[in-house]
Amino acid sequence: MNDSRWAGIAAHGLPGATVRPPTGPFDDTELAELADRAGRRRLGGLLLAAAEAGAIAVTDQQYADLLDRRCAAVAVELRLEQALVETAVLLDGVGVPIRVLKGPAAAHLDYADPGLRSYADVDVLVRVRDLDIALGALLAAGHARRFPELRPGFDRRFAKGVCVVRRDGFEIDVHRTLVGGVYGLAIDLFELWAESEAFTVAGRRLDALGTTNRFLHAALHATLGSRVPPLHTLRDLSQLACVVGVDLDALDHRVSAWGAAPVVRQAVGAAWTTFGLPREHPVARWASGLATTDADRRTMAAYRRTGERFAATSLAALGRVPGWADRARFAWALAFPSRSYLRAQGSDRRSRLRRALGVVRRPH
Amino acid sequence: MDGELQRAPGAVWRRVGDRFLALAPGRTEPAVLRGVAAAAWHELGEPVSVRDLVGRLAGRYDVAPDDVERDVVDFVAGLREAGLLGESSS
Repeated sequence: MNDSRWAGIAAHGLPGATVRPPTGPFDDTELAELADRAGRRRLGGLLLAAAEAGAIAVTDQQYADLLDRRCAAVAVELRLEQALVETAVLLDGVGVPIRVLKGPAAAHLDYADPGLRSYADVDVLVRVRDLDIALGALLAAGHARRFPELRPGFDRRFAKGVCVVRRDGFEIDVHRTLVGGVYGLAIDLFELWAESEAFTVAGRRLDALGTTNRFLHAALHATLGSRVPPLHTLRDLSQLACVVGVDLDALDHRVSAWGAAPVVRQAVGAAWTTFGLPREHPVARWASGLATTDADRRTMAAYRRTGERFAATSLAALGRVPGWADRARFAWALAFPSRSYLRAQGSDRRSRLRRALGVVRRPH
Repeated sequence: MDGELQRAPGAVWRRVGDRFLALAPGRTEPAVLRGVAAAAWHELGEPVSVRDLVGRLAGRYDVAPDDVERDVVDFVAGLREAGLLGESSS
């Protein structure tokens, strides 16, 4: 199936979208493959909704099969919701407030039915000053860090966050900012907490980022999170723009303050192209006017590097670390990570230095 | 039996097609509620007595309350066993 068909599934029910899901009919094998791949792309909820709406022709038996598959995925999502609530309760117990990020927040706040937004992990934001307390509480509860810290103090000062793994295998990403590298360092962390929006899970109130910051997070994730923007992230971005509604004045101010204009322009452009959304939409018109320089393009390219992505984005960020002392700490940590970190990465200091030098020498 | 029933405070659930999947705190496998059970779960979104629950389901499916009472009582017992039911004192 070509990319526009996947985009059609991702855009199901999105006002203004002109791409359409594959109409079918499919034989049982084709439909099973479609469902598997949609599930892996976190589009299982939208695929089922498209079938229920008649946008995809399925037999009664095929619909029952889609329903069973979706139930299996939702069973996992419910366990993730429990993990989210348990995390919120645990951190609340040590006085650490959180903001819920990405999947669960989008599902409950931005879609008519949370079942439309599939997700596979839990992400929470904590304040920088609370990061060590939060990690201490999570580790004391039996969770384990996925990777050791690059060097003592690195997480609190420079990292996007820390991934911890629960005993049941589910991962909790504890963020201090929204993205690593240059763009993460440029985010005003106070502004991340300036506004919030609440939703309820298991009878407990949880706070997410406000609409403006959810939109920016989706844009950052779409542009910088992987080589190809994930369709579910582009849908989140479009859902906020076309259904929930965003405050363009607030967005404009924050995009400028965070130096995120090229990232947002690229993300909105990708979403509009992928889903065939109308170019005259105010968000599209606004984003197309955001400035992008060659230097921006080089910086964004570092995020799309394979292999040495972390090294490339970190080196690009070096010049943006505020203050000489922190810049030196940052460079030292990159050049000489702790032995435990290297062991966990299956590396040593010499080979890491060689790879880093390769990143420096290789043109973007 | 005299108190009002409601979903367990820590339960999480999701509608999938005509079903509800509901997971109690500390459990790993959700209950799959279909048909009348899904309708009953929907009714438990706010505190309701067993008598009222019987009445609402009987009205919805156009049957006599006596015909569904036993099934509702069994359903309630099943939900309680699955950890999905709380009781309200109101």
